[in-house]
This record gives sequence, C-alpha cells and structure tokens, in this order.
Amino acid sequence: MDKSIVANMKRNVWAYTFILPSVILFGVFYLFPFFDSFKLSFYDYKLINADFIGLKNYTDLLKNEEFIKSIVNTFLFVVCVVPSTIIFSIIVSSIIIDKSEFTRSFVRGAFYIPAVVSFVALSIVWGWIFNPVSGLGQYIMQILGIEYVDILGNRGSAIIALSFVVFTTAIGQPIVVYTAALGGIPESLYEAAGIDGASGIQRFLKITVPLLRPTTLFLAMICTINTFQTFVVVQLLTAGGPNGGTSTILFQLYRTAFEYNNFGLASTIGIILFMIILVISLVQYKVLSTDVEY
Amino acid sequence: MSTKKNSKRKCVSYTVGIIVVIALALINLFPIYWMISGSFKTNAAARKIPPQWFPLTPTLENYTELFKANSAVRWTFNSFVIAIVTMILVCFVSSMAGYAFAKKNFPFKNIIFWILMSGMMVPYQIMLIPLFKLMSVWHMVNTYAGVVLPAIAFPFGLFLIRQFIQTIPNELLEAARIDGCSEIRTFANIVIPVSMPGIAALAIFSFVNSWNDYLWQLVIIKSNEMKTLPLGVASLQASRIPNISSLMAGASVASIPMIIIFILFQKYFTKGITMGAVKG
Repeated sequence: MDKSIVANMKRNVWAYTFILPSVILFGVFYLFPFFDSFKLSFYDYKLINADFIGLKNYTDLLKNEEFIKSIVNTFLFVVCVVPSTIIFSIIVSSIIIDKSEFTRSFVRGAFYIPAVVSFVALSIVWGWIFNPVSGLGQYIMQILGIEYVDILGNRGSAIIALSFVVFTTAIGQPIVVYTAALGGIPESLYEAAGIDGASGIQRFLKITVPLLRPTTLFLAMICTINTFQTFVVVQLLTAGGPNGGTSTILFQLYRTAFEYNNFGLASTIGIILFMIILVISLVQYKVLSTDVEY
Repeated sequence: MSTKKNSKRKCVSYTVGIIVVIALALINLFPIYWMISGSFKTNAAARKIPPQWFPLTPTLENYTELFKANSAVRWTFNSFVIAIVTMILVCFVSSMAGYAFAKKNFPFKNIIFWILMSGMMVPYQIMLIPLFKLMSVWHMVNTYAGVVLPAIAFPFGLFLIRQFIQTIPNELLEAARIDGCSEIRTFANIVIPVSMPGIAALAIFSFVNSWNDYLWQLVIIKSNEMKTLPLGVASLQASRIPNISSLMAGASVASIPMIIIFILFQKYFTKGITMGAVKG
C-alpha cells in the first residue's frame, strides 16, 4: 500500500518534470505578458514613468479618428480575405481530390509555397508589381485597357490589392486541410446521390459543403484571426497610406508603441484587438458549429 | 444513352476545372518567379516596360553587390542561428510536455493542458509591449536570446506532438517499463525515435516560422549587425532609392531556403497542417 503511493508520487513527479519547461515558458511568455497587457492598458506608460489613468486610454482611442479608421480597414481586409479564401479553397480541393497523387501534390504545393516564403520578400516583389512607373501591374492594366490608377495610391484599390496579396498566402493551409478532410468523406455517399440523379454541383452543395462544416469552422476562425493581424504588407507596401486608408489595428499598435513611444495606449490597442478577435471567434463558433458525423 | 451523355459532359467540365486550377496555381507562383528572375536582371532591364519576361542578359551582379555592400552575410548567419536554435528548443520542450500529456496521468492534467492551449487563441502580437518590457528589464533587447526565448513557448507545437504521441501503442511503453528502463531512457530511447515523424513536422514548422517572423524581430532587434534576412531586406527597401533588381536578390536570398525546405519536406508540411487541424 505504502509502496504504491510512493510509486504514484514518483510517477507524478516525473510527469511534472516533463511539463515543467513548457509551463514555465508559458507562464513567463504568455500568461504574464497577457495580464500585464491588461494592466498597462490602464496606465500612461512611456517606458520611464507609469501613471494610472483608469480608462482614459480607452476613451481616447474611441475618439481617435485614425484608430477608428484602422478598425474599419481591418474589418474590410477580413471581409475581402476570409470568405474568398474559404470558397476558393473548398472549390479547388474538391476539383483536385479525385486527381492523381502527382497533380494533387503539385497543386497543393503551388498554393502553399507563398505561405512559406517570407512575407517581407513577397511584399517587396508585390511592391514592384504595383509600382506605378515600372510595375507589371500597370502594364497589364494598360493591355487590358483599364484606365491608369496608382494601385496603392487610392484607398479602394489599395485595400483590394493588399487583400489579394494576403489571399495568396492564406489559401495554402485551407487547401491542404480540405483535401485531407474530403478524403474522409465516404465515397458511398456520392454514389448514392449519383444514383438519385444528383448533378455534380448539387452533390457539392448538398454533401461536400455541409459535411465539411466543422473543417470550415476551424479554417474560417484561423483565417480570421490571421487576417486581423495584418501588418507586414501594410508596413512595407503602403505604410498605412494613403492618408491612413490602409492602416490596420496592428499597424496602429506598432506605430503607437515604437514610433510615438506611447506604450500604455498601444497596450490598449492590443487589448481591443484581442476583444474583437475573441468576439468574432465566438460568433463564428455559434454560427458555424454543428455536430456532423459521417 | 443519357448516362453516356452525362458522363461525357462531366468529363469535359472536370477537365476544364483541373486546367483552370493548374493555371491559377501557376499564377499564384508567378510573383516568386518574378522575384527570382528579377534578381538576375540588371536594374535597367528590371525597370523596362514592356517587361522582360526572362532575364535576357542574366547577371549575378545583384548578388555580389548584396553580399559585398551590405551586411547580408551576417543577416543570413543570424537567420540560420536563430531559426536552428529556436527549432531545437521548441522540439525539445514540446516533445517532453507532449509525452507527459499524451501518456501520463497526473493531477490537474487536463486543466493545465487547456490553459496551455488557450495560448493558441491569443495572438502574440497583443503581448508585444509587455514582452518588450520584459526583455528590456532582462537586458535582452538586441540579443539572440531576446529573439529566441519568447518563440520557444509554442502551444501549437505541444499540441502537435501530443497528437502524435497519443498514437504510440501503450504496450511499447509498458514493455520498456517492465524491462526496467528509467523514465529518461524510455523517453530518449523509445518515445523520441518513435515520434520522429511528428517531431520532424514540428521542426520544419518552427524553423520556417522563426525564419519568417518579422514583427517581434522588428521590435527586439535594434542594430544592423543583429538583423535577420527579412529585417535586412526590408531595410534595404526603406533605405535609399531602391534598386529593384538588388532588392529582388535580397528577397530571393530570404525566400529560396524556405522554398527548398518546402519542396524537400512537403510530406511533413501536409502532415503537420492536417494533424494540427484534426481535433484530438
């Protein structure tokens, strides 16, 4: 009896030893900063002095037009990127699913590569493509007979252009996940539908889409969270311009902290970003979640 | 008759579908082609309109200039050091904890696990300022340690490895215990080798993540000497009237290692992505 208690304790000690490094790292680099961020959001904090100012940072931000604009822009990016990414990926995956292994991995790879390439490098090449003087974009628009616009110089076209760049990096993961998930749908379901005379599109809408709903939920949440954190393209391609027209929440956070040295206010921006992401994720969860079994 | 017609129509639409998909896949790769081919053009050729679709007079000048005039050698070195060290530590820490969470029972196991996993939902960007503050206090701003340490805490990695280790049969571990293997030997000689495919997937992920990280490095790295490739290349763009073709050379140096890794290890990427996506 005693012996088994000792053995049990020994086992627990080993288990805790194995998780200890993760727990410490998590505590120091996630938990502590997370709560510290909340704390700092109530301070006028400029690295040297910190004064408690209650909710002033929050009320200041709500009155700050630049910040409100960045929230609107961020939502515009999400609206442009997330649905198009999901729809595009689900269609591509269902087209390639019954093709040869070679075709499948080529297509998956081609769509995934931009996601492994440094976002900085991609932004730089896109910057060249969008360049109003020597860019390929201008040339192609000319050929297509589209009137000259400075793609990154107008808010509307800049948001679309940046969303497109983000889109090209976002589709890789969903395509891989969807093809894996599609492989798990029993062939018999499609056969049965085929016997009942369902067309390809009907089968796609009535079988594929509903059965992939849990996967779609997961992917939509990930894609939304990622798009809410759009930063690199904005910093490198437009620096938030024209006139704050493409600035995002994270870009505002970075600027407020590391250009204006207002760390308290920047923490508040971080907290607001977190709240928005949390609420959106919960809404998506409510809307998209169902128990699907097959 | 009608089924025959139907299947013919289906065949046509299938072929059209796959051709369109392949065309789009190639278009998706075009910016990368444009970057690499641009890096072999002279600056004048790169600025030509109508554009040169291939570098007609290919030159290596941009690369020699990049490595001579800038600290690009140092940036490349920094990128490799940071990515490799991060990768090793992430794998080590994650597989230890992943093993315990997958195969051991201990008080508060589930609570601790889900607290750790909640980190996946919190974007690290919102912790940018407290982390920077912490690193200032510890005098780790502009050091390798400052770049690497926060990146080791990687909840997704722990999740991935736990998923993988759960698939190892308990009998295997039981047998080791009966043979009198110590905990550490069981872990090192059985768990690690058997979970190598999972660890490899995680290794590749964390390497690529760390190589491509930008925001944290932008915040924590202050000197030109400490920059990684993405930071260095970004600073080239900001510094002077950018020479397009040498910018492309910089961007290529930052990208090509990742493309090679991807092509070599595509299997592991697919595995890691799908494993992370399936609920455990």
